[in-house]
Amino acid sequence: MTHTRVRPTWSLRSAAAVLQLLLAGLVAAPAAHALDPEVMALANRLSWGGGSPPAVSTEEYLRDQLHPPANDGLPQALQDRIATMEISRRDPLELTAQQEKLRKELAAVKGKPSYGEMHKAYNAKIRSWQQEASERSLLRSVYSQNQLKEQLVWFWYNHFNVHWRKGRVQPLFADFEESAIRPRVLGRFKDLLNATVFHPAMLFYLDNRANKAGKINENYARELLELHTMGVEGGYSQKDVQELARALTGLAPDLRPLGERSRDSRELYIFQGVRHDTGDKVLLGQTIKGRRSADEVRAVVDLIARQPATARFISSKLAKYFCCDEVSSALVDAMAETFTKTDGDIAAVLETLFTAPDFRQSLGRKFKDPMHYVVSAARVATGAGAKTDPSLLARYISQLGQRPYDRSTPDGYPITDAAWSGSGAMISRFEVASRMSRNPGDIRDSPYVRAVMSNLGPNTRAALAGASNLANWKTIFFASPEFMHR
Amino acid sequence: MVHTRRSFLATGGMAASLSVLGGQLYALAAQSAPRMLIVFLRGAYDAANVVIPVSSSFYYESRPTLAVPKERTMALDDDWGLHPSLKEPLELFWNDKRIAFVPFCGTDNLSRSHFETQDRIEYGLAHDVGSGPSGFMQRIASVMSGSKPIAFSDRLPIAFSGSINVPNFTLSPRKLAVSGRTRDVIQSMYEHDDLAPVVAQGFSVQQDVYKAINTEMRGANRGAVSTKGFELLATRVGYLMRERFNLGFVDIGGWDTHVNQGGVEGYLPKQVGSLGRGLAALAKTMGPEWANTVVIVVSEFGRTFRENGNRGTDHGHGSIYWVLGGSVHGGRMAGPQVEVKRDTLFQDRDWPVLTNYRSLIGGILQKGYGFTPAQIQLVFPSAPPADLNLV
Repeated sequence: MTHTRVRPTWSLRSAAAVLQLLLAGLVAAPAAHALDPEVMALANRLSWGGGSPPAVSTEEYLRDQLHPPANDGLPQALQDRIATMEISRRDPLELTAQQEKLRKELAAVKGKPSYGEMHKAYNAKIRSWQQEASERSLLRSVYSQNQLKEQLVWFWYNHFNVHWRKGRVQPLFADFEESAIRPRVLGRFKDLLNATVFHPAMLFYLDNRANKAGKINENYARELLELHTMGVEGGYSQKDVQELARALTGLAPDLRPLGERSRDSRELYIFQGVRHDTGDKVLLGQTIKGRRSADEVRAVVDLIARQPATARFISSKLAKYFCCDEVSSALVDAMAETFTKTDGDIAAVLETLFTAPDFRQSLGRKFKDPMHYVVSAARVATGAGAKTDPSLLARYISQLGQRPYDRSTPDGYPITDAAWSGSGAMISRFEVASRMSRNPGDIRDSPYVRAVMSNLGPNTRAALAGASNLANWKTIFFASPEFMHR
Repeated sequence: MVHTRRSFLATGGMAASLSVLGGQLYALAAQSAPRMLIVFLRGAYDAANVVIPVSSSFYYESRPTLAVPKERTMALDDDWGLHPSLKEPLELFWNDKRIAFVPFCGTDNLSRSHFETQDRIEYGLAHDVGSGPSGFMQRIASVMSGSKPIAFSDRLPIAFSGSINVPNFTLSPRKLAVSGRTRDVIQSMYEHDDLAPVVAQGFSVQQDVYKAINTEMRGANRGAVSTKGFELLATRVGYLMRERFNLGFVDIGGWDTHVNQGGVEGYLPKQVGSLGRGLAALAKTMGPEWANTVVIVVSEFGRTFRENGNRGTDHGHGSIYWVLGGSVHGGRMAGPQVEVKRDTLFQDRDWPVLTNYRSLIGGILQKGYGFTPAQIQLVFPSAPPADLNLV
């Protein structure tokens, strides 16, 4: 569904006109922290939304977001809260061992009266890991200064989706996000890809444990090509899928406790040479020498990452998520060219996107998915001094169909506007708006609301003017078409 | 050959959908269009303890605490009996031959994972394809002329996902969060927005449904209407399927009975009794349109044939689906069958799948709804429709 929205009243043209007048000295210089509508529009897209207008130029803002400092700028209390979470302070090997222990204890009381209680306790423990992961990522999304990075953590997890509920994945998916994805979201694509290939959460989720010489399981190979790299139109053949599967044989999770390992290695994967198909492979027209080492896996991953189809597929996905459902092939070409030239530098590719005219045109018109909708509302409220309850946010997001880590299929949640703007979805969204309005915080005081008020359309302003009380005002604001877009 | 996850929608889907939204939202054509309702039991209901293989001694050996004695069941035929909880609501349907059971029915998916198998069923694609841009109900809606689809659930299910905007509405009796003046105010904000038609559809479906369940229901039915749970919900579904919609999807949870599921009495018997009474109420509410309706009850898989150590059952494979409707050729166990004994178990634990759900539903669409072979292929690619003579 294309949006031919009324243009926001700020635009490059009006900003340039003001600048000209300034230079001509005919207009008094505006106050020091006046809103720059251009940077506000950019911030609404590069951040989750709902935040204060940045006090810097668009160039500086872009640079800060594409090359963020190591420090996310979270308040100390939040950093402490995150640090004490089990998923933060305990090693995934420990969590796996604990899950194993609890399962054995549960099995031992099967048929006995205590089974019911123990089963409940087991489920509660497992669920607590998902709740923690969800809280951690939502708190960061609301409070971090490095907003683009946080969006990219969501985007890349969704791209390399693993479903938290799959048995063996449960103690691992939080670490998958934290150690495989998060450190690499703005780096080189092939490094990110590699990290996911060698993480046990992925190897369990897509059944690579079952993939061995003589008994090939193609599941991971197929999704790696179709969903993670080249895309379904990428031009690989069924034979390529099989050859890739052969190359991946023997690559399995290794979650043995440290004491049981012969090496001192803390790697979470193992390459089992005896289960590996050591013949040569012909993949995408290239011969890959078979060998009994994980270097073969790295070689095929490298080959796939370098394919032009990968550059195009990844570029177009980034463009869909950050720009528009229908992306011009000229834009994809430009991004893919940057991808190829920079060996897959995600920040560079995004810079090509964010400086493109198509992108600037799209500002203010992209329909928010549930994550953006709820997180932006939370950021508006925190801007007015309210505290954020991440478990409430998770509940709203789930109600709107995008529960964190809960997409059961490897394709991840859809990233197009059309997927989230159906009639039933809009009604649910209005219901969530109504619920959010009952949380504390006079959002009229928030810098975001103050910044956008004068640019709201006449219908919205009339609706707000007629609000019966603060809660009603908030419902109307959160339900407005302007707030549905970014 | 690379399998491509193509869009399965008819061309011009978007334009078609807007015309579906535009004029005819409320009035169904004077002549009765055929209705189809899918009832999805989420959690894998224990078919073997609901439609019971009473002639199988292996059943009684496998379920020492759970098995339902033959004399307690309602006889269906020489080999099968219906759980006593279903006798009262469904006996008339069986005697009138308006309900059939399809044993050994299910999917190719062997994950035994609720989420994965449910999703796969809803996408309706071939086993090795898995997921795609639309669900099978969406594709049925795109093919069925004059379709008025509705999902009776909180969120649009995957089965209805795709580019046609299908409304979803929950029928649970909670107060509308956004109604009256606020609704009008919100709608006014969208007057000139691209989302105006979608918002209008959402609110009008919401209003319509709310009005239907609150005003027209009172006193409109001959005889008593239960005020509880699924029976109430099903009555509302029936009313809306009669008056406003012709392609529906409703799901019911609470079937994942690993512990203490109950035999003759207990948890599962209560659940299934409620389901049966709901279906009976639905049929009654539909009145003359029942003759034009097919309801298909499905579940993601069956359960282990042997009981586990906790007086329950675990995830299995083959299940039993129900097909009922005013013109269904029922009163029988339909589809290919095997004797129920240890040798015929799948992996020595579950019932096998001898009828794939895609072939089952495809066959019904072909014979009962006049879908052409090409249209069946669009809805269920690579699944030959099975003619079980149900419609």
